[in-house]
Amino acid sequence: MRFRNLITCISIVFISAACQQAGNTQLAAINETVKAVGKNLVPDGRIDIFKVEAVERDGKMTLSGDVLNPLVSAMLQDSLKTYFPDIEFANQIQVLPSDSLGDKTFGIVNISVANIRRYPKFQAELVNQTILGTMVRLLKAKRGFYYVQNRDQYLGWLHKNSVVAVTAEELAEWQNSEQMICISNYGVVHSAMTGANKQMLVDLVPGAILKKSGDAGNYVKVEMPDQKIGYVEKSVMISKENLDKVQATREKIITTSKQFLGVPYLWGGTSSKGFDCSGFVQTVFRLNNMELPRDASQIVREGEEIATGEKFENLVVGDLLFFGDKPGRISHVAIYMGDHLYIHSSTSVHINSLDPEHPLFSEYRHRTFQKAKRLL
Amino acid sequence: MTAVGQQSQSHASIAAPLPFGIINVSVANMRRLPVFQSETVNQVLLGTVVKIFEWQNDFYFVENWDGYAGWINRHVLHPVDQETAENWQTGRRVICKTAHQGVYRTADTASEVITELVPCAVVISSGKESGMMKVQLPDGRHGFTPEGGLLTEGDQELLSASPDGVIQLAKQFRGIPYFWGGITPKGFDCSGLVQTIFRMLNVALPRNASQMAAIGQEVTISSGLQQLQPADLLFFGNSPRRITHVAIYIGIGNYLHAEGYVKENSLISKAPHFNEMRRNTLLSARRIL
Repeated sequence: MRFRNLITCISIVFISAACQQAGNTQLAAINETVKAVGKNLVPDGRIDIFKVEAVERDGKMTLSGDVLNPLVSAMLQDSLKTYFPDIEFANQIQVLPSDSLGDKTFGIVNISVANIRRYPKFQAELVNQTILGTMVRLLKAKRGFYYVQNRDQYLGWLHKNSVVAVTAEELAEWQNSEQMICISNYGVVHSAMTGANKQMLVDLVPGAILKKSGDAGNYVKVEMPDQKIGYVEKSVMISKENLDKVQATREKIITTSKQFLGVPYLWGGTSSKGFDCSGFVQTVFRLNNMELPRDASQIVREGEEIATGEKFENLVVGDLLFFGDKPGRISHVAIYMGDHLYIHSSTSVHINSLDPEHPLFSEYRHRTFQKAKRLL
Repeated sequence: MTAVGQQSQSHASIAAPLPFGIINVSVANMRRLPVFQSETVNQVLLGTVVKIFEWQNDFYFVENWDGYAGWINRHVLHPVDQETAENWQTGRRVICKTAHQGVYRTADTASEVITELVPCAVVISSGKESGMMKVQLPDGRHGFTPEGGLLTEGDQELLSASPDGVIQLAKQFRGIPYFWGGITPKGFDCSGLVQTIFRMLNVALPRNASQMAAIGQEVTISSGLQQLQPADLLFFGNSPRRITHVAIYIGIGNYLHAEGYVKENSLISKAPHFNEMRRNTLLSARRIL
């Protein structure tokens, strides 16, 4: 979280440098307006795109860059008309997805856990992950990576080897098929049930989605997004139909959370291979048929705030606890388990207590606790 | 130590509280800089003793057994003095040989998991109970784990790597996703896959592809593939001075490697799994065994 400050600073420096280079106060004023309008229309750059600037091109004032929502482009041009009525703007704003992708503007994740990074390179920060069978929107391509929007709206760069690119029709076919969801921490799809041809096609984490193509005794015959056929043990899967019927309860949330005890911490991780704090909470709720946003600072906007009481006596099982070093800045989230205990991913998924007398008491978390929210 | 993370040494050094640490989670990410947002350059496994060089922002700068150095979050390790580190190194060490298994709070696999074990993770054995092995974790906690998935260090050191053994293990990891910096069945990078397979068979290899290309014996491939033998390593890159990828040759033109996921490809243009990009960038081959 601290890092985001830094990024903001860097982009401000970058923008002011760009203004100076232009050496043109009018251009600078236009870009200030563009920036302000963008901030208003797209307040959260993690889930929406506004990368527009005004440049002089062939003697014409030109708006250039990317947006995700065509309305944003139209509204920006409207605002500029109000502020700069005498200037005619040429529009070179690209509404993503980029035309260069053709009609394959969706991806279906084809490996167990795919990494979504801040920039199109492997060395860049891991900001999110997405799971086998999940749909992502493909927005543009660069250096072997796709810029994508994940199902939780979060944006980032995914390597092209992690997905199968499909058209809207092919995506609909996948989504409308009879789907099976993995619920075990360690599922495996094999190419055959027995014999010399039996090899692992892919490993499965909870939430992995496969297309059912038949029954085979204790196995389900499944199809992967790239149409490979395999077999997976029935006991590790439930049907999408049954998952959709799940009514999240406080008890179920705790049972699912405890399934992940001991999983190591991974910044950006949203799978049982490694979780960050919010990736853990998001996954636990998803497995109980509830979609949450990606970051702790986004999840905190959900649900109803609880006055915890001086000794946390008003908390109930399944409430979410939010923490942060600075007032108003949420950087950590945990799930309340009752009896002052909470479960969270920090170093690994483990249990701590809010009670100073308890051996699992974390003084640091107690000191940085900020608020509690009730989603159930 | 390799050059990884060296730029960090210009930061002000703060003495760490104790000179050594033992990794206390199943997989710890080693990063280039002391922040979570930084590149994962390597991973360090449960039970590994690391030397702590400096400390800042909740991160320690440490050196792994393979000579790679970088930053790990301070909470993933249990800091110890030299004597405790030595005791851990000479205790009744047992090594995980399965892709994953749990260490449970009681001798019952239905009880809570304290930590997981991945291949090459090390814990100390403290006897058997109800058909499970009782093990000690670096921070002194005890737990129970299925005995069948562990090898004593003595038995591990008796292992002799054969080409068949290498290929059998490599095939077990088919389908595992690619993870930059990864050395476990949660996710491998190209050299992490090779290093872990050989390490499971008691052969220590350096961490990255260009380092691996400098060991073993050269196998000539300039006039064809006929000299290649199973378990030879294949090296790829755009220039001989920049090796960026490694694979394990498994015979008849085929090799296994981590590219997107762990998979089999062929060097032969008519084969169904022919990988043209890799064939065009194949640079050299080495024999380790």
